[in-house]
Amino acid sequence: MQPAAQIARYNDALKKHADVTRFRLFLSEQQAIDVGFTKQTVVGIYQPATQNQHIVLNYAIELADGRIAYGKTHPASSDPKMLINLAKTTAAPSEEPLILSPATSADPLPPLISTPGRPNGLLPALTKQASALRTALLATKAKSFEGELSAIYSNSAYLDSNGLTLESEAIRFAGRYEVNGALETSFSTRQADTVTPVLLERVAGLTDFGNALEASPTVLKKKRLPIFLANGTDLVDTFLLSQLAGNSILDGSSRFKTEDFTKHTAVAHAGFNLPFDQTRPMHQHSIRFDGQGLTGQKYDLIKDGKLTEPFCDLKSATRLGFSPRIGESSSRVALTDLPDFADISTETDSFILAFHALGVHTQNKFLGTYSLPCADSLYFEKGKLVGPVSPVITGNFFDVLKDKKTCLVRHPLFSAPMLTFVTDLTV
Amino acid sequence: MSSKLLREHDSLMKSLITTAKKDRAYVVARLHRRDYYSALRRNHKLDQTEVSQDSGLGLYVFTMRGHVAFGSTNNLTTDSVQSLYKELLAAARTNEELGIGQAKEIYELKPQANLGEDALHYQHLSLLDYDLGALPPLMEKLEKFITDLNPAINVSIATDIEQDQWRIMRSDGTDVDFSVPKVRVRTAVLTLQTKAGSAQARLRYSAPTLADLETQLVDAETSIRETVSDLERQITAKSVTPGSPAMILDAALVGMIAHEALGHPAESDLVISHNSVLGDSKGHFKKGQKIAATSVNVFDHEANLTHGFHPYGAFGNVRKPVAIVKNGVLSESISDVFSANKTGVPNKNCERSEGYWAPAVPRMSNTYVEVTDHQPIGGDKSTIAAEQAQATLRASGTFKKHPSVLFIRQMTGGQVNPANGSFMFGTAFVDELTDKSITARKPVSFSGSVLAALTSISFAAGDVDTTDFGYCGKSSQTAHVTSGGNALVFLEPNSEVTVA
Repeated sequence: MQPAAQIARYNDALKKHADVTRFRLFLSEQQAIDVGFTKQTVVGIYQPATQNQHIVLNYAIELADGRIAYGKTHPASSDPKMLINLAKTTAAPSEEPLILSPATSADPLPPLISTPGRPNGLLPALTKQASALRTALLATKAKSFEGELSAIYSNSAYLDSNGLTLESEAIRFAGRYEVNGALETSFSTRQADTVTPVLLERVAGLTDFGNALEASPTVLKKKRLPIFLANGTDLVDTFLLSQLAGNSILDGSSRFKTEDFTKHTAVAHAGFNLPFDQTRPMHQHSIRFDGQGLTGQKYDLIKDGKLTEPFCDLKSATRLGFSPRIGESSSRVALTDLPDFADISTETDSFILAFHALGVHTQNKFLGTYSLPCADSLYFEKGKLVGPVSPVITGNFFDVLKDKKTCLVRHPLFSAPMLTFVTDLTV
Repeated sequence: MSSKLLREHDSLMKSLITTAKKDRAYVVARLHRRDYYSALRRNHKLDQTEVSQDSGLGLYVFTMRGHVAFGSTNNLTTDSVQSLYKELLAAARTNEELGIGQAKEIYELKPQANLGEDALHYQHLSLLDYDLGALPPLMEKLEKFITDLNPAINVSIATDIEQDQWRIMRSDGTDVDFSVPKVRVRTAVLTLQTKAGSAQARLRYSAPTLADLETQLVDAETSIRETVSDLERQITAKSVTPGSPAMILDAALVGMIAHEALGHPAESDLVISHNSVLGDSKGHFKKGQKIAATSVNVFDHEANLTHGFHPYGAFGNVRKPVAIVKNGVLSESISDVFSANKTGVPNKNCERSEGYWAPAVPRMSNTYVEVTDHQPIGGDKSTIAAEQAQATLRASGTFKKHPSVLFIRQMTGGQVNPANGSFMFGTAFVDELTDKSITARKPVSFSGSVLAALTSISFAAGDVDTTDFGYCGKSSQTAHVTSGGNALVFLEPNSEVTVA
């Protein structure tokens, strides 16, 4: 039974029930296929050939007494009467009525699947592709590697007491591998049979970097250098993005206040932007709608270095006076016209190329200070590789953001943008 | 004895095992039900509550030669489960034809008897039988306690109740079950913003019952007072000079060393895949290598109903205690049947899954450092932690050799690279201790080499404390864990262990 049909019976019962004033329902059905591989094998016991099926009904029900119940259940193990009884038992008082999405059924939604319907034969297809990737990586003689390929098909429906109905069918193919516990690359797309060729193309480049890291360590004499950091968006997410959520501003756990957004406080240099576009057809980062019935949109969190708006769910948007948005969990999906690593690095006399800063999420995001070991890094002078280094980068990220040399750049080996910035070093 | 939990799925499980027998296939079927309730308090009121219920089946299907496929569904009808089984059997047989995905070690597992429905293994309580209305006043009381100490502190609190029920059945007749309840202050965020600066701290508490959580919060009042004081002192504190000073750590940070820096590299799947600094070039655990002083031990085991407790591995056999380091020497790995022999260690059934949907991988439960011959803690129980640490250092004569020692406590998260043994921890509070003074400093990042940190342990004070709990991420899954160590552990300066 299609999701829309499954939640229709709940819709009918809730609309008629005397104790229910408003509601939102979101039903999502998902099938995920995963195939893992390591140097030792394809589909070993720790990364078996996996097929997962999952269905969940998310609900928000406002009762006549003003209390609201939020929850998740399985539509087959529950029926409308049980759901309403559960809501009555668990609902809590609310400051405001249940807020419903401002979207309309006529809002344009991006297509997220080229051929409707759950695809068949994915498990053997992905197993074959994983074998090909493993064969290519074996030829590099890497000390270790592991990775996986996946395909996620989802089918969901939303409806609410305002009559808004939305449906979505989507598919996403993804893959990643990590070499020697240090060099990781990943790719995702909505097109079948695209992931493995892209990942195969990157094997040679990553192998070159891996070999370079095995050379004798170089002594770094400089105490301050530009760095290109492959997981640099983790810094943006930890120090910045996590503090731009409407709920963090509401409860005072963010260093930013409402007025920082209304007055557009500068948090970065004028060339730094964080825009998002969730509306691109067939794009891997596009979203049709979420569990609150919000549809995907284009919006800026930071424009020309200034805060524009927090990303708010329906509740925090109402309380703070901003537009509700489907929030993003990572800046790596930010849409931005990025310069290429090759162009920026040739303009830089000496720099460090770091593949991973360890422990970004442990840093004090409130203060902005960071001290992060970058064990797997390479040092370049005048465009030439000098050798491997293992610096600890230190500083305050809010100062880094204000430096006009800080920007996101594209690198052909990584799907997520790198972050380049000038930083102090402890070596 | 058979299971008592999740019996409503008896006929579904029976038909699955019968079908597998006819097909000459071997199944490990894991039923899992999670009931979850959360309450969020912000801006001085209860803001939102949420209830979540999910049940599902995680199913491994093995051919007779041990080729395997895994799958899950939360559509627990006979037709749906049989359909999943058929697809997985086809995948396992394809793997057999291709010569991949073999895990014949499954047949080495002996049938497991059910340990019984005692209080340790069976704490089943329906979610709606909890007094859900008791959590909001508990949060209100906690907030009031904090704001009475300093009205300028902004407090947001998230609490939850989580009840997991597991039933694991196998084709060899194994039928075991357990339920683990958790009632938590998942996080209380204290934010202090003044004209002089800002500081933030997080509190967390976990207990098996609501009554136990209430007791814990009463017992924690002294430490909460300290946390508020530490927050206030941190506002105007200066930063430390980066370097490799002498340090004394609290149990929470020592626990992080045990968990992140030793526990993860000791997981046998990482050893066998050459991703562990504790494994050699052949994928064997470096058993017998001396890596710490003789008085230093590192264990992984939880015998009580705490955050990291689970009595059976995910394949259904009893989880056994692991001595990762015994008397300073690497001894055992956090292993399962699939990698134990290959890495040269005994099988401890340490595999876990976050939920029915997740394949099982070796995971920790409660990992802690125990230094034998430890000293008593200085000061008395009513003195603040920094004064206790100072008194301990004074009593041990440490200040004569190291006039200044950094006291670092409470961790805010950690990460390790198991392949090269480097770690990074965030910390919450730091004091610089001398014989005569205690000076607050800004929080530091504490990083370095696993093995260097372990060899730096010089002495410890106080009994082992493993009350710190957290959520460990690996293979896209979260495991509930606890960790700890002696109340205070002193580290000699080591250039490979730094603060900044």
